[in-house]
Amino acid sequence: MKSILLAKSNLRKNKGLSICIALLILIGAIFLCVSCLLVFDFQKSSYKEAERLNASDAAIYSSGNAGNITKEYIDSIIPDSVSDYLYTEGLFVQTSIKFNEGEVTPYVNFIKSEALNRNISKIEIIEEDTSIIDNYIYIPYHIHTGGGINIGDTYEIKFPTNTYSFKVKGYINTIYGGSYNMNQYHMLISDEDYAKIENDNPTSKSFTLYINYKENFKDTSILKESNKIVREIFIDKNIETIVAPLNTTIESRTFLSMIFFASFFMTVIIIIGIVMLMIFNNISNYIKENMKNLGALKAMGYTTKDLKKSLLFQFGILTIIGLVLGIICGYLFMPIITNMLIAQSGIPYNLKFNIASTLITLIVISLFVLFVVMISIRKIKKIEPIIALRDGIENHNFKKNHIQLDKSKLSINTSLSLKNMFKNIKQNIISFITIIFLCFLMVASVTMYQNFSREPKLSLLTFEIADGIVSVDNDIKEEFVNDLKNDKDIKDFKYLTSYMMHDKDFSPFVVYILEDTSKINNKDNCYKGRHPKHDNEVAISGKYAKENGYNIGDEIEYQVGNKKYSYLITGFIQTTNNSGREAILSYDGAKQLINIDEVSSVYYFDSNLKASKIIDKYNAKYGDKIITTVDFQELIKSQLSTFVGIANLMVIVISIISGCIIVLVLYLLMKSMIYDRRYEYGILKALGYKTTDLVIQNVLAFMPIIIIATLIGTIISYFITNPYIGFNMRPFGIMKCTMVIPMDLSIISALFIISISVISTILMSLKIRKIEPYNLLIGE
Amino acid sequence: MGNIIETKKLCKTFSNGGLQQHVLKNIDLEIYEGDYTIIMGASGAGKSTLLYTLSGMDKPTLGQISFNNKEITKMTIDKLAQFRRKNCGFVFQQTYLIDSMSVLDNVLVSGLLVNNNKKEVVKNAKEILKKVDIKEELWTKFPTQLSGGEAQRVGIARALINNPKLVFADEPTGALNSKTGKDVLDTLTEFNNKGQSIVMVTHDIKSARRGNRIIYLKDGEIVGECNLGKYIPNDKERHQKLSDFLIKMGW
Repeated sequence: MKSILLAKSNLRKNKGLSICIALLILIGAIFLCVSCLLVFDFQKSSYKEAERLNASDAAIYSSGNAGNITKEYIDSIIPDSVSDYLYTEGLFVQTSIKFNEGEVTPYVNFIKSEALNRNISKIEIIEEDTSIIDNYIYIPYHIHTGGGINIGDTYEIKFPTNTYSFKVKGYINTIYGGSYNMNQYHMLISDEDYAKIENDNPTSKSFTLYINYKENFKDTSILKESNKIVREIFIDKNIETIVAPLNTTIESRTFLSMIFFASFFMTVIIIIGIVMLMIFNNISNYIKENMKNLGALKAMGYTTKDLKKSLLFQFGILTIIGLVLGIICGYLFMPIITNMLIAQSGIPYNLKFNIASTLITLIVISLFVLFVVMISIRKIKKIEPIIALRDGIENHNFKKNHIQLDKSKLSINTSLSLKNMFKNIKQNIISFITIIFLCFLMVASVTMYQNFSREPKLSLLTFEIADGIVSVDNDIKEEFVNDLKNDKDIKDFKYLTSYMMHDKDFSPFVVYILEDTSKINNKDNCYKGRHPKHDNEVAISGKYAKENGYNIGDEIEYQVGNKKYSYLITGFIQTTNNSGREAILSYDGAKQLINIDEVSSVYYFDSNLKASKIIDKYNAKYGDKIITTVDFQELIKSQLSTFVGIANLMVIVISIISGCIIVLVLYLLMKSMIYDRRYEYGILKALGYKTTDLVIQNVLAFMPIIIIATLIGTIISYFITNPYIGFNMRPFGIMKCTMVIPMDLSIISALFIISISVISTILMSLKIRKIEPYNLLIGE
Repeated sequence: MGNIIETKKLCKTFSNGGLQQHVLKNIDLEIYEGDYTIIMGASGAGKSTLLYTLSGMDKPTLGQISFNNKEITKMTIDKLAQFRRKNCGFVFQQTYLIDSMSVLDNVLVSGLLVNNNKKEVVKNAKEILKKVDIKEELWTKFPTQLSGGEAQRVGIARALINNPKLVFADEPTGALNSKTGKDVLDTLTEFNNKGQSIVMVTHDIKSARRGNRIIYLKDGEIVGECNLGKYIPNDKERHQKLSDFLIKMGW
């Protein structure tokens, strides 16, 4: 009881300090709570959603021309490892669809209303307008959350023969076929419309298999088992299919939340570190400042245990207040982040109270605070009442008289500032460490902003960069190339197509075929070794190489049908798509396995005009002979919209948090420093120093460290931001991060940190005004 | 000799939770140039309050203080600071040296505030330290490494570095033993003999003997004054006169 009373009295006496510590704990709790919620609730909710919808272990999709694949045929080839499966029909087309302000070019699969009744990989209507009864379409939820298409909007899907216009009736929730990241959109239309489109486009018939295995396989085994089916279908019917294991599908759909979590987690560690450092410093200061009181209490009969208990209780109350408010704020802040993440994943998410996240936040921060408090309060044991009552326990350990006034060539105020700087070494070290870390957070966040929002670093997200892409019928290939050569509006163009090959396990591999690898715009693409030059060379993705133990100089076998060829690995490329199952072959290299004339001719071009104008020009000239066109910049803009939101949010949050931390840290440091030096200020005032002199001295004493720390922090961050972000993005296939570190924004961040620090130091130094020499000298 | 300080109806009242304590009541006082003025009185009589009010360290509640015929009562805090640095020197009971500064720096921190000529200030500081008998090997030491007497003499050196018109000393020997206390008093006397005006608060009769003018305060009012003339060591008649005065004052 007496310890509680003491703690209460201490809290009342040290209001400012108590509020600051509670705020620092609150900030730490917000970040930890949000991180935990992302991992334990948001990320897991995707798997729970998959479980709820009874998503199968894998899905196998075909493209068009699959009309001859029947349920009976699949029954005949299904391996024993499969426990059950579902065969569904669909209408397939690869086409450009409206997404945000631009377009994306996914595989669209129309499905019939019977899909709503299936038990495996269920499809669920999230929202609908039942008043729309004709010519309707249900779009995947992702096209609404990420693509901005709403119920009631008109939505057009272009087939080679016709363009079909629908009215959006609702949104569907489906694990497979619900996201652009897996390149598959399943769209539900009325049975009448389905029949009409099927009739108009008989070659678009496709199928999807949803497969469950008897054993609880991992992704690699699922892929291996599923490839048996893929191989059979290819050998028997010459139809290419794609396998999508469940985990790979979910990971690719929640890819952004993982990147966000990776960035957030480092911020959490830094902030918790700073919070703990400040608590440690403040408890030490508290004990120093209250030495006489503690001595008096000991003299009255309080034991060390009583005093320790009171401090534990005091910081316990602050921790509970900070934690409770922090967790509440974390839950309130979470929807802002998850709304952006849902825009990418398209998986519905409702935030609920998560026991694991809440408990982890409570326990981790409480244990940290307890640990720091226990270390700090050890000093209480050493307090001897008599010594503490006389002078307090102060160790006068001035090893060196820094800046001797008789030898200094500086003015008296500057000399005293520098003297203070050396004297405040502990505070300066804390400020130094805090500012270095905050600089890193700021530079990392402005780098994310620069590369995802301001000037998107497309090379990180796509294989090749261009203004536009045109795919033409092979009949007009030569004429089209001649036109491109003679077109003054075309700066450069290259033949770059992709082809689905298989590795030795018959797992699909997207292979890019380039006529001239020197023409590639994305210089970051091959981060180690070189692109293939000769017909026996290949560059494979670094992610795949690492996971499967390949090195440069090794051989890797690919097969197309029954043809096999071993290529020499000349380099590693980075890719965030297809789980890293991507490679590059030269034009001649591809000829080892395929008849290149049968592969669609795709040309990437850079132009002097807007890509859309070039596309319009060639569409007008060649009409149906143009298979697909992509306005690349528009496509990227659409895809990046969610990244832009996240990057902008990161900059705002990190700036606000950095500003708050600087203010809180400097407040705590200055408060204890001014308290420590109150007699010195009193003496100097008595000698005739004005408040302004002392404020200037104080500010100048902190400034060199703040400026040096900001400078060093910004320079270090300049060099480590890319390796750091790269390290976080490695699991997603980015092996070497070459983000542009924005010099201007880094300088602005540095100036922001310095300005906030200067303003805070000045404002807090004004407390010196209240120190009256007379009161101090007469002992008040 | 003319007066340096003149007060008219000087009052100081402290308020504490609605309770008013009148510490100084209508004090009319003149402090003369070259004098060694002693302010005596029982504990709580208002001695220290009078000293710090006269020196501009604290503001009076009512009344007027003129320093060299210039009123200081209406000065702002910053003006008062500038006034103090040029005109006043302080010697405190607890010395109040700055622990983190060397002996020499403690003196220079005051000297360099007034005079920008560093060479001259350093020379003066060293001379004055020698005068107060602080040996050169102590100049680089920190206050905590000095004895009480040495620290107080450094305090005197700091008070005198700017040649102030007036030195205010608040119980300068209060925390010292009799031997070191005598040394400090000798130092102050020596400077007074050279013309330095001093106002000292004390309730120690040995210290009071050094002054030529004794002012006795009781409950915030001047109740008596005694002129002893210049200090002469072992002057029994002078000592007797002071004793009689103090007995009369009820000391």
